[in-house]
Amino acid sequence: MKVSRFFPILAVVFFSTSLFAAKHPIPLDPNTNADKCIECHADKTKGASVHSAMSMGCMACHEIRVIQSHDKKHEDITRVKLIKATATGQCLTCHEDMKGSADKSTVHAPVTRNCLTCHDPHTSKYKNQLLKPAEGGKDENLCLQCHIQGLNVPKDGSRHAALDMGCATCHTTHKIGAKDKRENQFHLVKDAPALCKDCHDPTDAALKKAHHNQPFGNADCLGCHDAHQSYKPKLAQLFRHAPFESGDCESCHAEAKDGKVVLTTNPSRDLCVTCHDEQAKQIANAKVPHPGAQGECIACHSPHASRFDRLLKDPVKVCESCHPLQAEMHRTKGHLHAAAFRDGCYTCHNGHGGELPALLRAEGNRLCLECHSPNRRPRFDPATGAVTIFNGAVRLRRDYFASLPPLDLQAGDVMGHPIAAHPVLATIDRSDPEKRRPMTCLSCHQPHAGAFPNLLVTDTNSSMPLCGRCHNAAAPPPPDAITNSPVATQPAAKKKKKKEEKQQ
Amino acid sequence: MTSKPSRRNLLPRTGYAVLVALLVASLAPRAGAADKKKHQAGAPPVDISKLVWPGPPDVARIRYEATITGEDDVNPTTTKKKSTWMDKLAGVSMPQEEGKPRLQKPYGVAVDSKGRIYVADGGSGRVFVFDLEKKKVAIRGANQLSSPAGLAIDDTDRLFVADSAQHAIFIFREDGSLEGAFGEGWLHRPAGIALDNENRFLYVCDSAENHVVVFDADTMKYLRVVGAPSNENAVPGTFGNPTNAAVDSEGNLYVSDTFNARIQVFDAGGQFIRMWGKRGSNPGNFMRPKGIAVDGDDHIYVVDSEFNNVQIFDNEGRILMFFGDRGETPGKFMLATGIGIDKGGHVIVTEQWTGRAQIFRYVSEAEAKPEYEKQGKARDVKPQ
Repeated sequence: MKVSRFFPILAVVFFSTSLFAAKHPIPLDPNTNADKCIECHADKTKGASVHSAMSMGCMACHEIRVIQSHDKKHEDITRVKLIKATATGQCLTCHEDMKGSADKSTVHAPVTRNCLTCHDPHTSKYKNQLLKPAEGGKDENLCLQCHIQGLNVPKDGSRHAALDMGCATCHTTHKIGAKDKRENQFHLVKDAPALCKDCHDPTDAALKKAHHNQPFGNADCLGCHDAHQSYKPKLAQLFRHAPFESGDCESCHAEAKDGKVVLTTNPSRDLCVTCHDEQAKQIANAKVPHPGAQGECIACHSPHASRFDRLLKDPVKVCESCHPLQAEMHRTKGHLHAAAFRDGCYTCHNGHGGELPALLRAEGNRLCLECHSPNRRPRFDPATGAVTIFNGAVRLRRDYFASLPPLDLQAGDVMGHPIAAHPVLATIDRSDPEKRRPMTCLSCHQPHAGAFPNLLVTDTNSSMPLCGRCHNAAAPPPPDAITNSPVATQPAAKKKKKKEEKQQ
Repeated sequence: MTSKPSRRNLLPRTGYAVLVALLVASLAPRAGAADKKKHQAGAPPVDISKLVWPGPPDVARIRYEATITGEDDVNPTTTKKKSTWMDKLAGVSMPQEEGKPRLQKPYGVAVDSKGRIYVADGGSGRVFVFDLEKKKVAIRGANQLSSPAGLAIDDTDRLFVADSAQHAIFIFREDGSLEGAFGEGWLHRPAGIALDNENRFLYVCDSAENHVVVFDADTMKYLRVVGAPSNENAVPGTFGNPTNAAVDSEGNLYVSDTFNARIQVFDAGGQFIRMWGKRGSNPGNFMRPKGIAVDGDDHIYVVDSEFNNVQIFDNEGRILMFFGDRGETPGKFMLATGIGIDKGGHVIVTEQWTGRAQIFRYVSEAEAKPEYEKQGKARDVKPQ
């Protein structure tokens, strides 16, 4: 091989680029005064918004290192570096109040990683040394580099005029606090309705008329309105109760009295039942009743409009308010079953009560295989643009199945996962044979959440501890198969039988 | 490459037997005979200009350039004219002259500011310095090192060598003199090392203690430890034999967590950011991830000793492509282990079995953009 043939390009590349940037071009004393730095770096001190820490001198954040040469042939090397390893770590030495702990609070994502995503550490033309202002159009607004609110408003839709006043009107980026509070989750200056009332006066005659003279001053504006944009006029939420949409308020409301809402029928549940008697019957006659559904309908449903299907106030949080175990999983586990914590508990559980334990919509493996089987048959519902499962009982996003590859397993299969010969049904779960529990998907997987993507019951990434629950030397001998087990009629067993018959 | 490749370079190897008679007239008879002999011996025909990944019609992003095994490759004139370039291409190691050192079990790779390629050779217990410009081979640490593994070089061309048998890091000055050694007492079995030049951190993977030790690269003082040994759960931030590390342009640390078959990423403060990979044979899976390196566009290159390939990921862990396969010909590896990438985009991969260091060239986003445009594929090039 002739190395020289490729040398020229090596040489060009090596010598044309300065390989590293940390060496300071001018030798400095370790105790250099900031005035000396400014002789060259004057641009860092000028601008509309200069970091207040600049008055403390450059050495407040930077460190000068001089490495003395071991002989006279070489010069001493001067390096200028940050005192802390990361820029964010440096910022937090003073701005400690900006630091949030991941489990207890919600922190604006770029803040946790790198402050310099949004800020210039020295100076900028904009407030708080932002790289771009937090207002304006798509190109000049810093927030809109990541967020898209208000950018794709449909033709017949509506857009909140406050978007033009800048994002900081309603949001405060660094707000840190408990996750379950809306004002922390969305980094709001304050929560609605107080926030909305800063601009929208509830005593205004036109606004009152728009709300049909009903007392709305203390209602949650975001229940019916989207803060940014909507497909409908007046920023209305996507899903609306039919009488609300048609403006037929009188079917539920009488005239307000003493600033309070008066319903035509009381209690409110009786009012709902006048139309929704089918659901009332289901709640009353369910073999397995849901205690949470015995009270007011508006505990879970919004009577006017909602971001969520079935006018649920929130498809996960309304359930979590009574089910703390699942709420705890939602907060702490690293990997969540998307069907449960993104699409809502009602994907698998029937909130109005059902035939099966835990209000499940199907029995055993059939529940899981409704989505995870190659035989799944989601139907497209043209009215809502959603796909439906469980015979139309559950509506899901149109792209729900796009990222869900099916397992090679069909409802009723007794073996086939994770390998072809592994039982999934019709045998006893040998991890705890005393209980004589049948093998199901839940023998190995957790339905709600886990520490790793496959949601194994052992909360491990490695399958060894999981498999070892049944497949170990200390495990008790295999218990008798459940009577009438289809395992006995498996092809291998059949062949054996035939062989025996032949021999006879 | 040079502006005018030689005719021999362009020769289609498959048609060699037919054309050999015509070529004898233009080539030295001795070389022709050697080539013919080689061909009869069953050496696979390879045209290095076609050694690109991905193959046509895709735009090539990795090109094969050369193989180094010892002084013969760097300065062919000093050796007997036995080995032709074709032998080298075929990866066949020719018998070396007495006293001519050759790579035996190369591990770590580093490149200094002058373009000299440093290869740690665990087999002979020294570090080879291949100066391709001056056609010279130098040796570092003969009689000083016993089992050099990882290498790193800072911007003043100080060479850091992890010696896994002496449980220490050795520093050599640019001229080859020993500056010092440190880490004794802190290190059990140092393997791969990486240098964060901005922060002056030297990261040392300790594959026996299952953590990464951080030293100050100027004062050589112990600073802290990143990670802890894994239990069977292998939760994020714990290691099962971490072997190699790399640092990206933002100062993030990438560690190949070999026995957990994954890559873990930490920020310069030691905080866990993300991880990817699992055991398996699909692209993006790992069996024995070893050498790891970052190119100028912040892509992550991971050498897998089992697959004998190099998988390339974006910095969030999405697989982009891979190159290499098991074999002894150029572009293939036998026990691929170490990797180093210089600022010019040269990717150097070492192999334990064949004792080679193969040089590839990464075609950067900016360089590849015109090619993509020619094919009508729009590319967003990251602003520099």
